[in-house]
Amino acid sequence: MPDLLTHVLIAYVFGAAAVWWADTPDRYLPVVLVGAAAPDAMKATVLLGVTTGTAFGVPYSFWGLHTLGGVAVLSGIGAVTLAASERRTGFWLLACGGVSHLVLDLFVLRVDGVAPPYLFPVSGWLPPAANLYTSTDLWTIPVALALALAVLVMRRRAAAG
Amino acid sequence: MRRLVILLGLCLAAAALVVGFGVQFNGTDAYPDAEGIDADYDAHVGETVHIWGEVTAAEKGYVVVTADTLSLRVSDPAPDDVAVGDQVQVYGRLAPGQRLVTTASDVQSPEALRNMYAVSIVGIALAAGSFLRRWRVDTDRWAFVPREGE
Repeated sequence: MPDLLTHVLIAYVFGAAAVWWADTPDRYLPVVLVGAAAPDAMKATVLLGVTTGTAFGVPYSFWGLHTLGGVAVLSGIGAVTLAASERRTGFWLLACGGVSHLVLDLFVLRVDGVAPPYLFPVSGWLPPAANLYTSTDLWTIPVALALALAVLVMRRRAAAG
Repeated sequence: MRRLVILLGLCLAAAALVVGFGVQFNGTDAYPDAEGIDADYDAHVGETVHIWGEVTAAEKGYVVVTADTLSLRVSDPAPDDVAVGDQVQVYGRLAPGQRLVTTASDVQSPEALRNMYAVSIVGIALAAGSFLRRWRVDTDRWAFVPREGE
């Protein structure tokens, strides 16, 4: 992953486009930002050193949540925390943020040139890694910030008529 | 009640993803089992692997990278380019004597990782702050609802 700040700023750009395209209220834009942070919830297991292993003879890997299936499930869990009338739209916009996260992660440097199977469980395909940045490259932040600010200004101008 | 059932179903789906991913990918080329390689190293000699580990020695012309119980003397990166404690990903061929002939590698210092986590906390705060500016918790329904005027 790039850092989560980059993820959230880029999600703002995607979210603004999604909210505009779906003609939904602006309150859903921050929902996209939350969705963009959600796939990295499993990184807590990385810090604890329990990401993969075997429990009671059953192999497990929390990387399974850092996938398209994980985005769907985490978006579902997030949507359930919203009021009933907000859930359907909330789910899709949480998922929009989650997908933007996976798309950005396709560009992370992998020295074997292969990205993880982000389409799991739909497919186990290992896409090629674009190798544009590492997770600690902070140059992504000013780039993402510039894009987010440009979108913010455009939205303000559009709102002002 | 219906909400709790949905939540329980989603938690079970999450567990299925965690187990399903482990069954399908643990020990594969994409997610090699370093401990398994170490347990029967000679059987893996000649294989090409992608290992994520930590530099545990960098001196006198060699670097040792350790992942779980597996320690490998790697041909690259060079000792001058790393320090003990750096996190590295190395890709290369396993050779006799717990050696790795490196094809490609990348190094991340603990300081760079700390910086990444620090800015990531800013990202989480930005997402949470912007969400809570437009949504609030309705304690009657225990759900997020739009703030007034939203």
